[in-house]
Amino acid sequence: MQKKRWEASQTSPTASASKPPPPNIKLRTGIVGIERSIQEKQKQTDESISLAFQDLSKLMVMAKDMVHLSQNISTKIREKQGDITEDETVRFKSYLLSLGIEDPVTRDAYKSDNQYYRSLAKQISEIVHTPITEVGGMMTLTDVYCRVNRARGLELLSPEDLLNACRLMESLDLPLKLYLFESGVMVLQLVTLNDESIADSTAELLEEKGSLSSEELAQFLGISVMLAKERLLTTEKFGKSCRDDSTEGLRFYPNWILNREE
Amino acid sequence: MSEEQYEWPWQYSFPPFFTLQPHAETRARQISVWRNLVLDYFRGTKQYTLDIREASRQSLFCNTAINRKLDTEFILAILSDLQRTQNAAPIDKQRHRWEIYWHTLEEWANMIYNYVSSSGATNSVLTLFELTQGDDVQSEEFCGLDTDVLIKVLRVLENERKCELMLFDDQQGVKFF
Repeated sequence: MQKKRWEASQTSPTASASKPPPPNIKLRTGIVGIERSIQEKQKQTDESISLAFQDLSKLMVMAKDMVHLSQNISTKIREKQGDITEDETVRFKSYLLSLGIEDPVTRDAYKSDNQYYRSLAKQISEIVHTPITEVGGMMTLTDVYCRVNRARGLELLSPEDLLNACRLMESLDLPLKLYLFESGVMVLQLVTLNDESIADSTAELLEEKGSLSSEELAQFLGISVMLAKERLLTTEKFGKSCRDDSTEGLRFYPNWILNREE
Repeated sequence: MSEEQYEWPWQYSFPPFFTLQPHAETRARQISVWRNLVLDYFRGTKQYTLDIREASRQSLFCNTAINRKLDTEFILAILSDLQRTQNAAPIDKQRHRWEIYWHTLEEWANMIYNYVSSSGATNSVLTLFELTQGDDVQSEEFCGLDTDVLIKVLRVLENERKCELMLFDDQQGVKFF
């Protein structure tokens, strides 16, 4: 066998002497050959990864520069010293563009949270204003959260951020505002929506139907059961309905106890 | 009249009437209607006492036609309000049993004293039985008055020095002045 190997290795150099041998691949047969070629492939991969990381360290050097720049800008804003030169702004924007960020409303782009939330509030208001109007002027915050994040696609909002932004809406004169029910349910509603008018319209509905449960009202108006319940409770608060709480469930009737002529 | 003959007001058939309302104004009106209903019912059926534990069997608190009844909390709320105006009083510590004064004790006292004065029975002794069940009193409002309530009424008069109770084991009587 030794003899054979020796022979084999002798033949290969001569065979490949006529043309330049392919750099890393040795001609071998059998299992050893396969093993060797796997080893070679691994070595290749290793090398190319190292090369890639070399690029990354270049990227890091660039990023360092950009971070420096943005820190500069934010310091200037904070201390209100000097103007941010147009040059710096342009450089900053070009960096952002090169990273693929066009101009999203992201936390990092803003110095203070308040600024961030203000813009967020406006964006949210734009996104959900029409849908809210379509469903009767009120939407639970959980529904708003889903819609807004679906619309944004990337750069999803945390529930916290949503809540903080919604809190600002009223003070920013936006067409929507945050409303907290006694039960703790939070909704975003049109500023034109008025508790008493809801109570009135629900009371009329009760007169028409005789009595309603939350489920029935929800079905009739095409809104969620939770919101329907809130409507009924609001109507009760204004004294325009009274409740019937029994083993058959909770229902509301027009407030004859108070309002019916004897 | 008997219980079956009693004519209920429209509220009795209105389901929300049996749920204690959270809205303040509505609740006040509701309690007021219930008060009047209780007093009127007891007067109409000539009853004087009530046990809350039996409430589910009483048609006053339980309308089987609409499958609604008052819960204990609600009944106590009504009774407490009646107590406030001296139209009811608990007669045991746990407040299960109550006396209902569809006339207050004062009102009964005046009624009885006026009758006694006008019929010239002052300075004579009357048995309690005569006073509430006797032939002479059949047309009087206080005819059939519950004995325990009567004794309380007479004590009111006693305090005003208008009578003296004589309660012995075998005989119960009163002398008016």
